Amino acid sequence: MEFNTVVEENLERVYRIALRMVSSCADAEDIAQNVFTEAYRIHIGKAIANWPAYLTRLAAHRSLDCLRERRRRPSAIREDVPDRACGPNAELEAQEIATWLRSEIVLLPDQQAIVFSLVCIEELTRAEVAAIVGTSVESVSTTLYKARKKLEQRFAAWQKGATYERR
Amino acid sequence: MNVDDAIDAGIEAIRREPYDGHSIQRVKSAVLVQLDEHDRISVVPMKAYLTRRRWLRGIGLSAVAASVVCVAVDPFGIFATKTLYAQAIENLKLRGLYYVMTKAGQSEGSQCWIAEDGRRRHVSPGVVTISDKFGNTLLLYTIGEHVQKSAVLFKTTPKSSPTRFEESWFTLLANTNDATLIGEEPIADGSIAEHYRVESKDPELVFDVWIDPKSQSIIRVEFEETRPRASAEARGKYVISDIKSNQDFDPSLFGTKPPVGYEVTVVEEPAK
Repeated sequence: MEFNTVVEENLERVYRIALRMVSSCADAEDIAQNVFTEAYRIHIGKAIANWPAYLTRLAAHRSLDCLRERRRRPSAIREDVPDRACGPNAELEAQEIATWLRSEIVLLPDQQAIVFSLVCIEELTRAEVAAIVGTSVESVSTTLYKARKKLEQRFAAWQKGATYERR
Repeated sequence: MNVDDAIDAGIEAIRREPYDGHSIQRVKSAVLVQLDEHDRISVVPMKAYLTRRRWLRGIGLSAVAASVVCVAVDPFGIFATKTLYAQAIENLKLRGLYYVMTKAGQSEGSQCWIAEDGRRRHVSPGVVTISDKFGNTLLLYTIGEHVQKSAVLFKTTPKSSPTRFEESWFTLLANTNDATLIGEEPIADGSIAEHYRVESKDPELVFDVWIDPKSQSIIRVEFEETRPRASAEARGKYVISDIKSNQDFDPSLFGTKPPVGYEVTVVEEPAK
């Protein structure tokens, strides 16, 4: 398959995954561009059987790299982690939680972060994700369960901390 | 709201976030331009082309190395003192190169955009890296307005990987002033080299550099690529050796006639 066609067919998905994970148009553009450039270079040396799966995995990994890079900069961490005390409105609260989620996904192990992002945020089926990460559907379910549990525990702690601060 | 509902609400909020088609178009344009650079020969102001025929004849960089005329300048004596560092950076910047050619699998890292009137508008990152299958790398500096040709030639072990960062390694070395002298060590030819540790501005990258005090030039660099942005295949320990700087090229490597099967492409700068 012509690589240009690969770009045409997968660009939107790659960009959307990156954007949903990193929540920044500029970063998502960079990630998408790098994903295709990297994929092209690898494609020169070896054949890629399943382009959508390969590019999805690469996009998720590079988005995680971007989030981790961001976390290492203290100023970026402050911007990314919301103040739980503000926003009484349900929509505002959901947005806060969304920002919090992004900052926490990055702390999960790679596989958990990617499975959680692809299943929960990207709404891919477990079978699709299993094909992307190269594992079984059962393993995806287990990984997803662990990721979700961890996030729930951390969310409870975060919520408690915010309540305490408000007093 | 309980924990389950709250996380679901957060997920739902992420899913609802809009994204615009302009971003996708921008990415598409940038990606296609990059692919174009790889697939075809791109034209730069001097309208020079690296002829495909010569590469296909298997000359490769080993032969390029053999055919170059070595100009004995000392751009890397910089590691002895801060002043020499600065001098070397200037040396590199003054050595402009207007020839930028790419060919799938043989070059990377070039982005050279020109305006329709033939004047260069933007060159980034200013370096073209061409690696051959033997691990030899040709690093071409494109910074500056001077019509001069030069390059740094070196051998990297392990041999070339398509996603390495040769240009960033050298840029980091050239932009790092703090070199700590570790000691003096004998090298293969029996002479003594000074061993420096260079902590680059990129905190994850520490170089061990051996300098020949006589020529004040680098003879060996060792480091481990561990930076997060490096791809998995690019990570690992590297040795750069056989470093020859300010290499001029055999003019016959360049021509003004595009090789058969290649078309001239003027690459437009993608919209920011």
